[in-house]
Order: sequence, then structure tokens, then C-alpha cells
Amino acid sequence: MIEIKNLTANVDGNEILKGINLTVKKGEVHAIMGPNGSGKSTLSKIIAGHPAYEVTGGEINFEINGKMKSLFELDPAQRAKEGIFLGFQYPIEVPGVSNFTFLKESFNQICEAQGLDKMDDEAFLKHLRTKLKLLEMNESFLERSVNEGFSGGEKKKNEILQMAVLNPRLSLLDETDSGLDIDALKIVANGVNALKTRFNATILVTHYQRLLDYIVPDQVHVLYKGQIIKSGDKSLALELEEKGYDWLIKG
Amino acid sequence: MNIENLAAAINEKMDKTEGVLNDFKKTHLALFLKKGFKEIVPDSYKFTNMESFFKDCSPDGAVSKDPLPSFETNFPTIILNDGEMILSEDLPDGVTVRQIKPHFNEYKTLFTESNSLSHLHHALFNDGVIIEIAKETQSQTPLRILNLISKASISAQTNLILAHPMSKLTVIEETRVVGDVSHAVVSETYIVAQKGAHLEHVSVESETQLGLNHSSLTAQIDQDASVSSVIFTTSGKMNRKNLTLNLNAPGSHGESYALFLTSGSEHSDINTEINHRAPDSTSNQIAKGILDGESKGVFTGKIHIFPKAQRVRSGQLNKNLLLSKKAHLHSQPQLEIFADDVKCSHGSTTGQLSDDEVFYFQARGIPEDKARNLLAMGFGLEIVQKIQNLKVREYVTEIIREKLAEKFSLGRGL
Repeated sequence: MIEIKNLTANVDGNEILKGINLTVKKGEVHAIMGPNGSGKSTLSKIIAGHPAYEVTGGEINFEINGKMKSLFELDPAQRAKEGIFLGFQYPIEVPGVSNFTFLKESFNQICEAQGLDKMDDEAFLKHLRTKLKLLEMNESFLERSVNEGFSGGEKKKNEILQMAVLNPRLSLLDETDSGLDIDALKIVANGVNALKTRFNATILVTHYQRLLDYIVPDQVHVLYKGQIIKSGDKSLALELEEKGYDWLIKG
Repeated sequence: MNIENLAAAINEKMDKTEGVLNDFKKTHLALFLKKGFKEIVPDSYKFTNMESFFKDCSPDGAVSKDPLPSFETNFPTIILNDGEMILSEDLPDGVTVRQIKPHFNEYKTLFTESNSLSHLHHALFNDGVIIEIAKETQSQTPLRILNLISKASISAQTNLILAHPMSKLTVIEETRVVGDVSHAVVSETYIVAQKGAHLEHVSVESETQLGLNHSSLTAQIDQDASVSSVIFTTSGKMNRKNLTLNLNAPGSHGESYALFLTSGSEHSDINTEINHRAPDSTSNQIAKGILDGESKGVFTGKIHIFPKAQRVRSGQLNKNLLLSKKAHLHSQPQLEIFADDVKCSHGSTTGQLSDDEVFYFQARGIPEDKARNLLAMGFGLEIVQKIQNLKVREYVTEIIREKLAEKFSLGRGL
């Protein structure tokens, strides 16, 4: 579904990614782990198209209508319309725009791009209710301004709610577990698991193994100083939990 | 018109039969002639020169021939046509409305001088209304005061709102100019919130490019009472809004929300003063501006915490969105704190929408131009959402949405 080849990237003139190679297939869950500052968040933001990062080399190809296409030709909104979803580490607060308006605008943009009919308020609300239930969220969330005054956990749930509504093919979840207590973590993980199908894929960016107790990855990659230094199955995450990153870095 | 000519014209027009009120007017006319537009608080008009705006103004001018607009809303309205009450019906229960002039003597001590136009206002002292909310009246129904300006003149309307103990009401003051008359509004509104009373005051306006609007609101807030002021400045060549909230007793609470929208060569100045005169009083403030063209904005927010006012909590935020490179903004937070056990926060930002905000919307499939549009609209609507009364909020939402579309093309094509 997505192929990243020898990707290098800078931010503010500093080289953050130094040759990333990664392939994720339909139906797979990949976890990217690594110490702070290794480039994990940068990678997910570049896939989504954040303008602050400058790609200096390599390619990212994404399957669109059965063909692999370069993502660099698409702006962030077009990427989202093709089914790429970035769950933000720090969701932005937007006073004055209600969650409902935001979700509906977003949903209808994606429907339009995929040649589906837009929904009116009533139909969309009905559609939303099932998703709210999945995440054990109260309907009052819809009237509130996007993320404004939300707790850390509520913000992360709101990200997964957006994911549930938009039904992306590739989800990039950037530190979705940070700031969550154990109950909220379970709800979020259940949400992600419930949305998993044979046709979509997930890349989890995380610090801790904890999330992977609930969302089981097919592959685990360790990112360090802008490169993937080790890949393995889920047992790699357990090994990291036990030994830390030092043994990999020194080796 | 210079000050001498303006004063002479006011003198000529003066109704000599008004007794005590006439003495009051004469005193202030003399003071106006002597002091002109002298600032009462130093530097409070640093970026807004009032004198120049009165060049084309006279106290008596042509009357617009345009028909009066329709005033329909779904809540009670008092209509004042150039200060004269022409309609008042279906008032909320427990609310009474009277003309102010016949009762001037009773309330004259309330009409103080707080700004450089106070003497001019007092010299003119046009009629307005006294709104009284009886003790323990908790009204969900709001009350609208509609000020119609149909004369090319200076309109110095005066309103007084008296909220008796434990009462609650939302008052929306709306100024509309009828026809294209070169007018000046120099209005003053006074609020007295007695123990445990909650008063919400919303002001909106719809003016022409010829307009000058200088409106002041002064509130006295007693123990456990609160006043929330929501100001919208959306049109007019030159606008100045003064707000003074006096937190006079423990448990008193003040809120100030303001939004101005300027384009072209418009000038908007919001000047607020929140005086914590008593311990355990609290306040919260958000002022926002959206500026386009070569327009100019000024925000001055003074928070004064008096020496014995301990355990005060106060927050101030000023955010401005510049849509053009030639728009100009002055932001002046002024914190004067003379008590040591207080929590006071303030912040001020001026600039464009952040890349991170725009990216967040794009990452959800919303194209960049639409993202900017939605974000800027939300930026303005945040203040509308601070209106507590839902009927008024709904009504004002429509007005502000229209203005955002008309002035900045925001919200169009969404």
C-alpha cells in the first residue's frame, strides 16, 4: 500500500531523516518505536504532507486506484482524500469551529473526492452516533469547539473519532497513546482494532510497548537518528521494553 | 466644526425648560468648551484622535428620507429613534422601562465622566431608557434596545440598566443607521448590578462608512453579582468603545468579550478598564480583532487591582488576525497590580493563521483556501459563542456571519 524508499528530509536545515526504507501492505499494522528525537513524528508528518519539512531525497509511493503513485505530487488535503490519515500527537485547538462542522466538512470533502454523495446534517449525525458509541464519547462533544478545553485523553479520542468517520486506508497514529490513562488507552485501542480490515493499514508511532499490548503489530521498527536500525515482529517490542534502546544503538 | 462652533451650536439648541438637567448640561458644555477633547485618563486616546473626527459633524443636520427598516426579531424590543422612544412592548416579566429624562434628578450621581467625550455627551444628554429588573426576576427572555440613527447629527443617547438583587437579564443594544447620513454616536450606558444580580450586555451595530461611533459602558458590580459585556464592532469609519467594569464587593465578577472587524480604511479602538476594588473578585477577558485592507485597530486592556483586593483572579487575552500586510494593530495590555496575593494572566498575539492550524484542517481533506476561510471565521465566532443567552447568541451569529462574508468573504462557498 505504501512504499518508502531511501527517504531523506530536513527541517530548518537539519537533516532529520537519513534514508528511510519501509513498506506496509494492506491489512498490516506496523509500529515505529525509538527514543526521543529519532525522527518518528517527522516521518508521519512527511507522509501526511506537513509543509515545514523539506524532502531532500528518496520517494514515497502510495497505492491509488491499484497503481503506485508518488505522494509528493499531492498536497496534504489531496493525500487525506486518497485515504491517508494522520492522528496528531498534539491535536490543534480551534475555538469558534464546532466539532460537528469540522467533522462534516471533512467527511463531505472526502465523500466528494471518492465520488460519493454528501450527507445532510441529519444523516451525518446518525452516522456519527455509531462512531461516538464506539469511542464511548458523549454527543455533547459535537457542539464543542474542536479540541478546545478538551483533556489530553479527550483530544486523542477525538482524533480516533475523526479516523472512524473518515475511514482511511492508511492511518498514521502519532503517539496516540501519550497522555492516556489505562481506561482511555483501552477505548482508543478498541476503536482502532474495530476499524481494522483486510483493506486498510496502520502505522503506530509510539514510545512505549504498552499500546502494543492492545493493538498487536505485524512488524516493529526501531528508528534511531533518522534511520531504521532494526525491524522484527512483535517480540522486538517486548525486548525493547526489557532492555531499552542501548543494546541496539551500541551494536 | 471646531470646538467653539460645536459648543455654540449645542448651546443654541439647548432646551432651557429642563430644570436640573439643563443646569447639568450647561455645566458640562462650559467644561467641554474649556477642556475640549482632553483625556481624562492620560494616553487613553493615544492612537485615536477624537477631534479630527468631529470636523464634519454638527449637532443638527439633515434627516434621512430612507424608510425605517424592519425590526422583527423573536424577542421584545424597545425602539429609540434618535433617542426618542417610539416603541416598547411585550417586556419580559419583572422588567420595566421608562424614559430617562423625567427621572434625571434621581440618578444624576451615576452619570460620571470617564472619557474624553463625557463632557460632550453630558452637554447634549439625549434621552434614552431606564431598564429596571425587579428583585429576583430571572428572565430567560432577552430585551433588545434598537437605536435608530436617521439624522446627520450627534446622537448622545443615555441608557441606564438597574438590576435589583438576585435578578438576571440579557440586554442587547443594537445601533442601526438609516440611510447614508454622516452621523456621530456619543452614547453612554450605565449598569448597576446589585447583590447577586447577573446582567449580560451585548452590543452590535450596523453603520455606514460615514459613521463615527463612540460608545461607553460603565458598570458597578456589587457582591456576588456579575456583568458580562460582549461588544461587536463591525462597521463604521471610526469606532471607539469604552468599557469600565467596577468590581466593588467580594464575589463580584466581570467578563469582557470584544470582537472588531475592520476593512478598507476603518479605525476601531477598544478600550477596557477592569477595576478590582474588592478582594475575592474575579474577571475574564478576551478581545479579538480581524483586520483587512489598510484598517487600523487598537486594543487597550487595563486591569487595575486595588491595594486591599487580595485573592483576585483575572485573565486577559488579546488575539488579532491580520488578513492584509497594510493593516495595523496596537495592543496594549496594562496590568496595574497593587495587591500581592492575586492571580493575573495576560497574553497578546497578532499575526496570520498558524501553519499548524491550516495543516490540521488539510490533513482532514479540507483544501487550504477553505481551511483558512473556516479558521478565520471560527476566529471571529469564538466571541459570539461567549454570549450566554441562546436566543441572542443565535441572532448575533447571523449578523456576524453576514459581516464576515461581506467584509472578508469568509464563510462563502462552504
